[in-house]
Amino acid sequence: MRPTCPTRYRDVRGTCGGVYREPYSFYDLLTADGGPVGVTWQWNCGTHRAGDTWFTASATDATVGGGGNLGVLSVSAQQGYGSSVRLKYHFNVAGEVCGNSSSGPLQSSLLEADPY
Amino acid sequence: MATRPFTSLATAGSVLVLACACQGSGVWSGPELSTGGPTNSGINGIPAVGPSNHADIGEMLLCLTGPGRAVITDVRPVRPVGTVEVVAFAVRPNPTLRGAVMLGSGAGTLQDNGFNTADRIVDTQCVSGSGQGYELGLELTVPPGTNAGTTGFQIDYTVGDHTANLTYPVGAILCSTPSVDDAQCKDLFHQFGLSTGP
Repeated sequence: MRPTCPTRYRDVRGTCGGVYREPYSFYDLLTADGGPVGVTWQWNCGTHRAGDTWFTASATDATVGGGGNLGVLSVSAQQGYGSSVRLKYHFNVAGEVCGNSSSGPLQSSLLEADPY
Repeated sequence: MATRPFTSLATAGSVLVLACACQGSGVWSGPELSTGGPTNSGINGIPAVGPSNHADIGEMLLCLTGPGRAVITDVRPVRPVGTVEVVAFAVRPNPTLRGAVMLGSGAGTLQDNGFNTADRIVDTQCVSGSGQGYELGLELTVPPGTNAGTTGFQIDYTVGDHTANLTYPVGAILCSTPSVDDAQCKDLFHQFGLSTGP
């Protein structure tokens, strides 16, 4: 079991002068940092209402070691079906889950969740 | 005694041949509805659902394995716990391709969430990883005061005269309680092997 690792980011400077925080490591699967989603993922999102919970089996238990809780949005890993680990996103405020596939979060290998 | 295994084997073989013959005569070579690629399972947990407060879920990408046109005729929960009612279903072109976001979960009608319930046709061929296709949206509810859930939905469709179905591993746990943390709702989550707690 790998140890829990912190979220890793790099800043990407846009052509219009804006700076975006873009995740670059696998551990961003558990991201709920409250910052804007990476520019390359910004439309690959699904919206969620406050009070809703979203579970997905996106990772194996060899690569998920923990989660984060920022008060407005919490992410945690829990054992679910088969050998995979379900990630649970609970939205205390409205937010979104975005992924690295234009086919949507369910077909993404990397996910990021953010409140609006 | 010695012939019994042989007889059984011979019978099994005949059945196998017959089964293969039946399947062979009805093999469909046209396009099938597809998720467009490897799809993670997902479950939406939604509180405060009832006849006057429907839940909506989306994010289910659909495309065709070849050129053609599929008409979705019905969507139903797979082995639900309790009664999950599919009030309406519709597709829309994948919004991510035009700079908009998909529907994760929402409330109200599908129209409220950008779908037209008259749209039930999928006519885009899958291109792996491209996002080409349609997003399926579902409007759901439960009987008053009840909780219900499912781990997926069966999508019935036709392509010409061919009828088939596709099971999408996106489920919903719908609670009439104000919060998913209320005891009755938690119990239902536990039945699906999930926890609402941290």
